[in-house]
Amino acid sequence: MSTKEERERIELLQGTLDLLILRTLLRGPAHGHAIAKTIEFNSDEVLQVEQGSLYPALHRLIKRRWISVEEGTSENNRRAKFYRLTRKGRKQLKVETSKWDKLAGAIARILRPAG
Amino acid sequence: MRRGRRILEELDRDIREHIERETQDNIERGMTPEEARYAAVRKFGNVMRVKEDTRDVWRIAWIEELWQDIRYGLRMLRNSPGFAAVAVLTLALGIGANTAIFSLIDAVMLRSLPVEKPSELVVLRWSARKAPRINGYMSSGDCPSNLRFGAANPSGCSFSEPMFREIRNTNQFSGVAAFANAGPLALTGNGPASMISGQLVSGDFFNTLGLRAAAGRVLELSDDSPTAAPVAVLNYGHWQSSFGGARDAVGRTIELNGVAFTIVGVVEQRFTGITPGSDYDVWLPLAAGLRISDPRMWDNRQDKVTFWWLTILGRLKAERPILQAQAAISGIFRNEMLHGSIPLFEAGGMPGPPEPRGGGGPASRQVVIGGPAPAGARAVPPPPVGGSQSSVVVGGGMPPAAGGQGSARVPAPSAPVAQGQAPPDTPNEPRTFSKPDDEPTVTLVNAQTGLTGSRGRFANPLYVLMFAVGIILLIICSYVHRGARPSDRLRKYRESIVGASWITPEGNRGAAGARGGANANRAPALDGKPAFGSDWRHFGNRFCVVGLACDRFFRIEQSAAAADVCNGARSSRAGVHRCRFSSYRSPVRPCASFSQRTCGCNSCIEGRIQRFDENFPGRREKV
Repeated sequence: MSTKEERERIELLQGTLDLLILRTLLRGPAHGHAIAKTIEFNSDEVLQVEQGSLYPALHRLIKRRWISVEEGTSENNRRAKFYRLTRKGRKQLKVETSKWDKLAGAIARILRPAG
Repeated sequence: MRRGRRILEELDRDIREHIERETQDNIERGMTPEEARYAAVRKFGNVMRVKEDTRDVWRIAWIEELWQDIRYGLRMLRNSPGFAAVAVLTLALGIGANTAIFSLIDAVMLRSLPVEKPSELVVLRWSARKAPRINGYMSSGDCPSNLRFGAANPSGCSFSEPMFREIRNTNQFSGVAAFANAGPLALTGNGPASMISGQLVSGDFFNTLGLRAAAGRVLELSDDSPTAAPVAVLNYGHWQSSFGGARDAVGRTIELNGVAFTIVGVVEQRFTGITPGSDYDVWLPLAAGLRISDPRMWDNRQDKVTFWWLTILGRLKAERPILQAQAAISGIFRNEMLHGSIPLFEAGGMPGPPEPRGGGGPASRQVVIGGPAPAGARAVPPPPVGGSQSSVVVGGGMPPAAGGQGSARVPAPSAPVAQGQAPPDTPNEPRTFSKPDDEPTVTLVNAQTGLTGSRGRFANPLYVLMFAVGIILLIICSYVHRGARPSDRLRKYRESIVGASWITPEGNRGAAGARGGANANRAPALDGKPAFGSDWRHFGNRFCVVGLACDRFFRIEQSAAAADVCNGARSSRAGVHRCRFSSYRSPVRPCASFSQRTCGCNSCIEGRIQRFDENFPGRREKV
């Protein structure tokens, strides 16, 4: 990783990764690698997930019981751990999304003051 | 943690498979296998750190964090000694007061009786509508007593020795013990003379309570007789302090109030007295009371039914439920009081000197002389003491024993005396004095609650004190964070309130959760004196208090410091919104993790992940 790439990287909030994971799982259960890929893809490659930090985030979510984990087989018939959103997690997703909107709105107002 | 362990077991494999998949994807993108693997590993990041961070999510690492807090706090103290000194001093005062109050509460209120199976023990309590006609009454302060002159519905737990012997003979209990304060005892024969406190106890006191001797033996039934040699049993603490814990103290002769006693043993360490808060130095048999007391005070009470001075405890038999035993004992008491050789209470309708019809309050006796009983005869004993009588109640016929009493010596009544008037003789009709029965009854009260000792007097003031100290600690905490920036103040105020409110209730009640289980068989160690630090409960309380206070104090300090540092960073590097903590002095690095926790973050992931603080957009994270 060159320093140039490092500088261009946008740094995210810790809680935001959790939010993205929850949102990704809204569509259905997925395994860790797929989650990372989905986030990158859906953000048009803007968000490069340092894939290692995915796992502490996933375990945090498991500990809070926002997601659950189960064994399954992936698309190429390999076994993998699948993560699934729980009911609590679904509720929390709404809460976190609204918090994020508020935050983003506040920053936007500061950056581009109206009038 | 158990959930975590299960899930963490496969973490290694999960990570491996993740990298596998990424490698596969890279190969599909056109890389060579080596490049693909290399890129995948790089993209993943530091595997060891990831594993560590993931495990940290589950680990409850608060002890390590607390230790870091303490170390950081000490550094802060060195940097700003003035402020720190004041804060520490006030916190120390608050904690000290808290601990002192807790010790007091613990000693008086929370410990269960230091005997075997305390839930089986009951204390006898008498009650009646009116005071008994006795010559002497002594209360040893073991239970709430209400025998003021003229007071209605008196009650208490002192009984006469003849009553005690009668109760013992009825076999209602598996063991009966009687005790009373021995009065001031001058101890000589063991170095300089001193005044000690002692308790007179019946011979089977120790056996009934299930207490053993730490040295020698405890008192036996054979010791409690007027002809037996005077013996004494020592308190363990007193043995240690006044006799040096010498083994040869057993068998030594001492003099109490001039009477020679042989020390036959030392009771086990945890026992200092049956009533909570009591601490007697020595126990003597009841029979010795006569010898060590002033005869005029003593008044031969051991044989008098009119001198009530003994507190009685009984151990319930397994096959006799408490209500049965209570009914039996109450019946015995009642019979003795109303129809015994010296009736001490008034049975309704009992023959006695007639009295003029008098008006007056409920306590006065109203009399209808002659004539048939206006109300029906009462064949059944009235129910136990209820409210005071409010109207003229006519005593119906009492159980036939009324007429057949032997020399019924009627002692001088305490109420206004009657004028003499020859009672008409109507052998067929019972005397119809419209007097209510005094209803002397005995209730059996669980010893744990019945023996209040100093508890009753001090319970409320103690709780008020504890509450007050808690408030003081709250105030202290609110002062402590005065140094914080205005923007953080509300949040830190909330935190310090939460923290301080942990300190008192949690520190006290958490460590003293024994209250609910006070009646269990468990009898925790009871020192001779409640010494600081020698008991797990004190330690637990102080640990909670000190730990939480320090933790809260230091966290607030750190957040404030971190805020300052970050601001400085931003202004010095205009345009670059960066605040990389690792490049600053060491005190700041702990800031990051601590302020994470103050903001309620779940896990403490150190290193390059930092928490975003709303007030300081300069701090960021890498995902």
